[in-house]
Amino acid sequence: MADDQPASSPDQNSPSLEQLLVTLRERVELRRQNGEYPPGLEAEMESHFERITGRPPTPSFLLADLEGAVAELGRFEYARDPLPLTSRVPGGSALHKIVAKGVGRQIQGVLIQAQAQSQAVARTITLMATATNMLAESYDKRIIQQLDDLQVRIAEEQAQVQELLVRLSDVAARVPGAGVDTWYELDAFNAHFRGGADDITTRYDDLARRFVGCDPVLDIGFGRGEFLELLGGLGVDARGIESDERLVEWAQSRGLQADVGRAVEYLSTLEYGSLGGLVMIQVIEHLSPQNVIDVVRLAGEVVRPGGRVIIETVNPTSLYTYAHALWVDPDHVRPVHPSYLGFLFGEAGFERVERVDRSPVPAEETLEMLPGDDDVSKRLNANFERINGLLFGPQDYAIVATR
Amino acid sequence: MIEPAGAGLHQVVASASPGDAITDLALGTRDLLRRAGPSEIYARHIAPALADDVLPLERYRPRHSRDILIVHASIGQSEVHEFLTARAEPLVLVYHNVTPGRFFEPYDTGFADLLEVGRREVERLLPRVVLAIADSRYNALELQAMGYRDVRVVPPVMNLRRLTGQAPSSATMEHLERVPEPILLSVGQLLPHKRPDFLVQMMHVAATYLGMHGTLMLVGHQRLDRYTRAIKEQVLELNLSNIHLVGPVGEAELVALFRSADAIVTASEHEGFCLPLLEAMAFEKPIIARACAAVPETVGDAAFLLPADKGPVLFAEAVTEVLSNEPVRRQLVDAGSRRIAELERRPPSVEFVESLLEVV
Repeated sequence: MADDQPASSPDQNSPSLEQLLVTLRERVELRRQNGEYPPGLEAEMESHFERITGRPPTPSFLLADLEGAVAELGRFEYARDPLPLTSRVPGGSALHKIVAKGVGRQIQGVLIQAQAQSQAVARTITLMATATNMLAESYDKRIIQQLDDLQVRIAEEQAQVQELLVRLSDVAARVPGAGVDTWYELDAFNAHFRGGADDITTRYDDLARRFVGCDPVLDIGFGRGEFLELLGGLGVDARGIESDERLVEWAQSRGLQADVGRAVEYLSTLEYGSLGGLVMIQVIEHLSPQNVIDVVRLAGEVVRPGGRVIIETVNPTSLYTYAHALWVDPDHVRPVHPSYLGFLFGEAGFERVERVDRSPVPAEETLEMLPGDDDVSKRLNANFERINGLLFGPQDYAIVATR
Repeated sequence: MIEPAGAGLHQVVASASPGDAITDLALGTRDLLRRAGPSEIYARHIAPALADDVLPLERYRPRHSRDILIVHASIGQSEVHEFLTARAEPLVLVYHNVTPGRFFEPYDTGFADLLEVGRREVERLLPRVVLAIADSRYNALELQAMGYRDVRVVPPVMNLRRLTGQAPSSATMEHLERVPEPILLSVGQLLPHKRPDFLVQMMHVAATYLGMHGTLMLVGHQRLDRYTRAIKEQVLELNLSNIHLVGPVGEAELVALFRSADAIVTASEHEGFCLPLLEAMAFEKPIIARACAAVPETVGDAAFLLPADKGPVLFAEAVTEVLSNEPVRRQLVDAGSRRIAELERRPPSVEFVESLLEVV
């Protein structure tokens, strides 16, 4: 770019032209965003010219020089200057005349032959130069044409790709389960809705103990890593995967074995029977229905016989959850019914499938029983229990499946 | 030749040729100075057409103890410098700018060195200079950076309508009728600091992305073979068949080009003044230029100035906009006419001579 800036000059565009300049700059930016101008266009043109100035002249220019040299060769004529006949030596002039007469004819003959040969050489070089020039020109033009076509195609395709990317992000934003990009910290969300790390540690201690003897255990979607820490505390060899890089870094900083990964992709990379345990705490409701099916199938493959899978999730058979946990998290795709999940594990070849109800609704939020022992009270209380069961059933359940 | 009688104010230029802006300024100045006393022009190189008007440097003889030499500095010229250092007369320096050598380093290191020598020569004249005059504020700042004080700014403008009254070359007019429109014209030597490569890139953007398939005429001397080749290759490789490297032209051809042009463009990064832009205004043509060096002060508000740090994409957008937006085009043309009238109100040669008379 220019390195000589205007010298502190008051001269500039009039206000209307300054406004036009702003409009044009916005237009350029818009065209760039829409892919009408390919990315890096100006830098590419600049480096193109630098490549030209940095390299030796191309054949077409050398050939132009060659043509000039050949033309000069063609114009050259051998001339026989008259032999000097005068001499200061007495009798010398007579001698010169005799010699000149004797050799003149031969010299003339040699000159004619040399001239003919020179012209033949010039013709040959001209033909060679013309032929080479033709080759170079057709080569140049073909290459340039092809490059030009390619550039046009690349520009068109880049524009299409750009358009597709815009549409894709639009579509992705509408598809449930495609994930939401949150600007808030996930930690803040978890702390607000799920309680502190200590609460969770206490709440999951019983599930963690079920993995003793099931090394190694994989925790999919380990979040803040509480379950991994519980397992570590029990001496279980455990590692976890998370899709959020920041959570992975945080877990690693705490000495946990953690990698970036997503459930289906990661499980697909594991060897048959390579895990002793697999756990997903409050994760499966974030997966699409297809991913749920795939995760269970893959669990059946990667967990060795005798190994264990625990999946804890929101309980959709409790209507209370619909008013609370289930729809608080915008990333939830859909709840998974315990009967369906149990069925999946059974189909995937697990020997024993157990359902464990968890997180009971606080008693004070359920329908209160009548204190009386009379028939009416009993009947009403039985109804209350049925309603409580439906409305205020346990908020979570876990499927504990043994391979 | 007129033999000077009393104390003389004589001018020294490196080379004198017809139509050259500095030569014209020197001739106009001489005519005015002769009203006050003896005045001649001396040059190292003289075009045959000016043999009666300009004297060879070696013919200079001091005739009066109070003679003053007016030096027009525009390029390094060691023989002129040697001549000046060998003389004792006080000097008036008229600085038309010497292009920094770095622009030429990739193409001709010898020429780049010569230019740097030229700038140093201007610096070395400092103790002898009694008055420094610059073409533009930009040039004045360069002189001040070299240590010159109290620099006067006088634009080197003589007759801005010199070309408009002339008949165009009919052959050129006919030729230009057949080239694809719009016609963009750039007048200036084909040299790196003028950035014709930038204009070629601009045409690539305009043709490929904005659908503008017009013609670009690059008019001016092609003195740097390697750079000219590079521009030709750039044009060839970008497949731009409508860019013509016209080379130097006569006045009738230049008139035809100015008349036929739809807009005047320049991407120049280093200009001490830029006279062709004022000529373009006289032909009532809109100008699109980069706001570099002395260009903004030369054009005033009579050009669409684009930021120096912006590339050919914005330039291409600006060109297509000016060509398709009649109110904007008209605004630029009208501003150009006002700018010419403003410069004509006070002929610079008068201003120039008044400055000179202060030191005599």
